[in-house]
Amino acid sequence: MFGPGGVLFLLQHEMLLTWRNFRASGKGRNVRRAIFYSIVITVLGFGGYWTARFLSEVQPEPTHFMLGAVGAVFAILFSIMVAQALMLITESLYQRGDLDLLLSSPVPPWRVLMVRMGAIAINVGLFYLILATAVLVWLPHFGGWAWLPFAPSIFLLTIFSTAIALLVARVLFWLIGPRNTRVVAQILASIVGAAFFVSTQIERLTEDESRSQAMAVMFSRLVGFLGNAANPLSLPARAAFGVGFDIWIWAAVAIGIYLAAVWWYASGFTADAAAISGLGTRKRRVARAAKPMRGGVMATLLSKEWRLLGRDPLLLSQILLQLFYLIPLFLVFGTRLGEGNLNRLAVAGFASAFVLLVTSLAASLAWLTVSAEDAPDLIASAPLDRDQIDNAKAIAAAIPAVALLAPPVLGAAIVVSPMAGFWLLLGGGAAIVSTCLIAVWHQTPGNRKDFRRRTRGSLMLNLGRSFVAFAWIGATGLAVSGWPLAALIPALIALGLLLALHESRPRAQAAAA
Amino acid sequence: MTNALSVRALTKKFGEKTAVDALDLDIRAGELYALLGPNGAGKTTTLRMVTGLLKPDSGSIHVFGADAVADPIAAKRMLAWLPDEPALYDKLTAWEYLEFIAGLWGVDAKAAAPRAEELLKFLGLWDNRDERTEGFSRGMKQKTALAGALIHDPKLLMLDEPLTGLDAAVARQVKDLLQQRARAGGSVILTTHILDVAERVADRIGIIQHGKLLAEGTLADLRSRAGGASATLEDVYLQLVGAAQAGAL
Repeated sequence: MFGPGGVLFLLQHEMLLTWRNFRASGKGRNVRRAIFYSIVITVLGFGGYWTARFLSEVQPEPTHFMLGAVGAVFAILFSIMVAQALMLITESLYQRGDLDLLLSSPVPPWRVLMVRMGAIAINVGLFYLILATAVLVWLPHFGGWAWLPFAPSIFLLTIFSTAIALLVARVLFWLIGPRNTRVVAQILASIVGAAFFVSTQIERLTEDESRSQAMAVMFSRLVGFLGNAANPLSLPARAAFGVGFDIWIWAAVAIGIYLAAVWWYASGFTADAAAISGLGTRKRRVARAAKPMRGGVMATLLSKEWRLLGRDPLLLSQILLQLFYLIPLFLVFGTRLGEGNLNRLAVAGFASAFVLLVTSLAASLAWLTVSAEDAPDLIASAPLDRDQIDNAKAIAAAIPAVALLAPPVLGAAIVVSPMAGFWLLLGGGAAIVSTCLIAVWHQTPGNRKDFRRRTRGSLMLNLGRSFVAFAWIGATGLAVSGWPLAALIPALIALGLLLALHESRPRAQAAAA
Repeated sequence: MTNALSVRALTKKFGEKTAVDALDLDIRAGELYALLGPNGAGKTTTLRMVTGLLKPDSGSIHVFGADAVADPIAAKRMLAWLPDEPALYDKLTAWEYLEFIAGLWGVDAKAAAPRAEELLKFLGLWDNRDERTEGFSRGMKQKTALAGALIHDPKLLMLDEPLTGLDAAVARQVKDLLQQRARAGGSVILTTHILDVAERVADRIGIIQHGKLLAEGTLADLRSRAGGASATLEDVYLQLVGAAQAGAL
């Protein structure tokens, strides 16, 4: 167990890699890091102190409400943990890294898997355990011993969530095969992780409630359901309150399901890993005659960018998932349009949200087309102006965003007023163009695989980009709701910021322009 | 006759380190020229400056008379550059990759298609033309990149370590293609650390170290410099590089 190739040896290797990745992801000098960590520790310390002080004054009684409230928090945590674990499990198989090396070594595959899943469970639960620890270390000081069973209960929730994610991943492999599992698991994880948020959004929009009201309604429903001590789903909460032997039952359930999941997953692990490594490409049937070629720089660049986007389902799903959070908005907008139940303010709200949506899409696509070029040397050695290439790439990013904007523009023009449609088109168009221009001026070269980390970098740039987007969103909302003159103010702010971003672009880009 | 490539007093520094030091180099039209040198000698930096990927600190570069520093686009039209680790687009097929390159170099689509077919057939990739390059072996990727470099029929082809990592059969194909190209009047400049390749295929050989050209000429010229008709290129190379290193010390 402790020797080379043993469980702890492998776990140490996993944790070392995790730590190195974590360190590598945070750029900056050691002094800056030290300041950052000092702030985090201080905040955690103070937060934990006051929370522990507050909790110690409350006796943890497993009343219907308390049981329900803790159960609801656990349910939300569970959904987030399952989502995280599902992402990590699938990625651990697809981003093979050292998997080939480990599987080719004389270490039994089940041991490799056991350790990898254990590391994932630690990764999933670490954040919550740190938060819990920040409180727990103060609890004895204030005499809040009765809250201590919460720690093992949260830890077991982590184990249980990882187990469920393992089972889901295995079922997906079994049902849809390795090629589709990665994308589907990612979508599923995002849906599960955002389930509570999306349901509160639907509640909020359908009942015309504020966000806090909608969350309260959703939360109270969960409390009502999980507050019943006879409900088996309240077991983790009951265990946290130290009811009878519930902590032991909860431990047996969580660890038992975890071991069963690992065993089942391990039984197909080698085959799944082999299937993934053998994925390669889907061979196409070769036609006898060669396909005709397209000519022209713009057409060639556009088709290249769209092909690369369209053929990367993982990337595509990551982009489309950003839009997933706005699905409730589309649903409610469509319903209200059908009922003729749209007032001026609601129209402004929807218009602003659509501009936010297309801006977000344009920003993602523009980063991919402009900054995440797979062959920058090839492009740079082509006999073309840099501007010509950048413009074509920006257009490739803008067109899908404009296409997404078209239906709301038409809807607003037909149902609300032609002017409302015009303002939405103008505001949305300006936001898309601005976003693409900023992407060209301030390129942040990266790899497509780093899509999720694309916004890392200059804080000022990110702020500038966000302010420009929000200024256009505000301008569109005001113009659509019938105050086009007032909309001039945010529009001018957006243009001013855009000018500032243009002037502050790096010298290489400035020289190329 | 205009040289394919004329480099005069070309200099490039990276901080304190001088990568290319007032280099003079001439490549004749229709010539296959091999640039040899140890790691860090300045071979790749020189070629990257010719391609326009790096800006020289000083000096001039002319490609078939076009000033590559003042008018890089005119020079790039006549050039093709194949780096040692060619970056392909994983999600594009070999055929689509060639279509893309042809588009960038402004080759008419009607002319590009038969050219692509000819190249892919010659390089043994015709049956793989509709497969995405992500599934290609290293050799297949290298050949696809080579086809991409040739699709626009460049007047000057520059290759950085084109045979590294290729198996014997593929390496032979590439060597044949380069010689064929030189015989047809195209100019080729390649960097390599495989002396045997330079010895067999190059019309002239240049040996570079610390960013300076130590010697150049035909194999016979270099042999005579080394003082023996029976000397191999390896002998010549080690003698020149060794002497330069000793001088530097």
